[in-house]
Amino acid sequence: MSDRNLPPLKHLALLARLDISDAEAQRLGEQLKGILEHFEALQAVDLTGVEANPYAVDIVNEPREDGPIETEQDLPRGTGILERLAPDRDGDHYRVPKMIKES
Amino acid sequence: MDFPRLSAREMRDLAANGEVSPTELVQASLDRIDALDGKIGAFLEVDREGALARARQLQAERVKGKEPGPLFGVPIGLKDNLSWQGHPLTCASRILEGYTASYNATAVQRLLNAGAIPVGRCNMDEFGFGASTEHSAFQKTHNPWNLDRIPGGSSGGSAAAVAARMVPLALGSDTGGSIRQPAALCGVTGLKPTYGTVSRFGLVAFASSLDQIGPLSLDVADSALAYSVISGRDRRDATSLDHPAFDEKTIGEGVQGLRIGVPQEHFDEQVHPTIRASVRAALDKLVEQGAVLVDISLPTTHLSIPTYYLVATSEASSNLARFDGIRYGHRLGAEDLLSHYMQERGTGFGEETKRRILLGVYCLSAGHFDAYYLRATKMRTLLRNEFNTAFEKVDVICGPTTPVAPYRLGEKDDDPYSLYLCDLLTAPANLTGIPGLSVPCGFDDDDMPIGMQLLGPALREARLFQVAKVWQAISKLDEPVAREVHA
Repeated sequence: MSDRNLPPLKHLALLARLDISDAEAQRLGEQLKGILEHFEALQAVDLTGVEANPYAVDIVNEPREDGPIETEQDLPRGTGILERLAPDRDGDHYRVPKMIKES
Repeated sequence: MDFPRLSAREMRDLAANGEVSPTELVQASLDRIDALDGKIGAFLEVDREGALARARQLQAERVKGKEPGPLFGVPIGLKDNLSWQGHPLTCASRILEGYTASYNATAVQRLLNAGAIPVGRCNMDEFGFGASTEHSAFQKTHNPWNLDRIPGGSSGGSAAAVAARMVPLALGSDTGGSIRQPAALCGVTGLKPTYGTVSRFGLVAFASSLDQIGPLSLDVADSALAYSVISGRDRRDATSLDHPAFDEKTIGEGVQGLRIGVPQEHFDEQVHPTIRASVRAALDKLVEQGAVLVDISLPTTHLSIPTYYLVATSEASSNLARFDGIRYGHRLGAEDLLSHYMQERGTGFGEETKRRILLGVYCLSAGHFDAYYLRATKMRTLLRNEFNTAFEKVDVICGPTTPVAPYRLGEKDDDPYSLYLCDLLTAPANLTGIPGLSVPCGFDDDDMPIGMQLLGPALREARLFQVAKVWQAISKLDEPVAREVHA
């Protein structure tokens, strides 16, 4: 499978912020390897001079004016739905686990 | 009122004329769900009280003289990746457990404005990752034609709800075939509209450059009606096209002289022989009506699967990075923030979701980006050129929707790539942004539904409906009621 070998799956899982067990890492690693082998078919295609096209249709970024716009639905304000969903909060703030480890 | 045999239009007309009330329509839908959904498993939530209350409200407004909308009183289902204000929105994933939508998706709001009455949230593959609806974290959905078989996916709940005639109409979303495939496997009609014609505002993103919302319905005219209601510019979606809503009056009559492209790659050995034969027979019937068949080639078809999975997983890994377990969900008690993310996401996502996130992260990572993601975006250009060339010679393209018939639940559990192959014939429309319509075509040797796919140039949905209407009038395949739910 050329030089694009799969890095240790645990490393990818860290990049993806996914806690996975050793057994899962083993299984998923083998499956991903198999899937990537199928993707190799693309490497044989001559794409010299072909433009990259991240979108299917031609669209351009269209910044809107920085202000309120008229739309067909008024988004609810102050319904409390979002606030009630917070699993851990302190007044108007979300409380999160410690970001910096003490040395 | 023979509820299971009524189209959305017929229900609407009965309700608008006062022959039945919206409440009676909703009650008939709820009764059918009560009787059947225990074995089908199409709905994740049924909102009895809310639907009945809305029916009464619509009726009261009607009495006061308000004009009935184009879907007045029609009970509908919503795929559970669409925001429906005040209701849970799970994408069939544990990571969204406890989340409630605080607003309506634009497509949902437009259906509500038209007088439709949502009765519940429909099951799906987690975040749309699958073609069988087996990858829901909550339940499996069974095909109403044979309960041992998959309904297709990822909008399998929406397709099964319509096929079982619990609702005449449901919304789904299609990233690589997720409306058209379950429509084909459940024997109903499903439209993946042109990219940008239906606002994605309020749709939980899977792959933003491919996702599109569309209707699943019992017949072609209902699909066109629903599309006319949900399409049209929305300033809340930056990729929404500046194009007016679809107008049903633009659908032409008959197929006399219409050129139908038949791509040889959609009829090769990867497609089951019975499915090929069924679609060929349908094409012969269309020729009898005056259509002209033109053999064409779409040589890149077989590369659409790796192209699609590279683009889709790359975009998905980025889109799903937002699920961090901070603003909703539950706390697992991690000591620091990194462990919190790892634990929440490690336990919240199912296996197929993890597989796709990891694949996407790998394809986007330094040293692999050029070989994978960038290459795939160039492949999209090739595919688009191929379709553009084809549409210079033909008006529509026609072939099978799926390469295989509905398989048994659990049959493909051990081989993820075999599941990906189901998208062979549908993914090209997402990669190129063109519209695709799946309509019932016939039945295989096991008496399971077969779907036929019509593809057209961007914004030419009217042509697809035109051909589909002629085929439906000949085949009358909108009429058979699925075996397992035949009353």
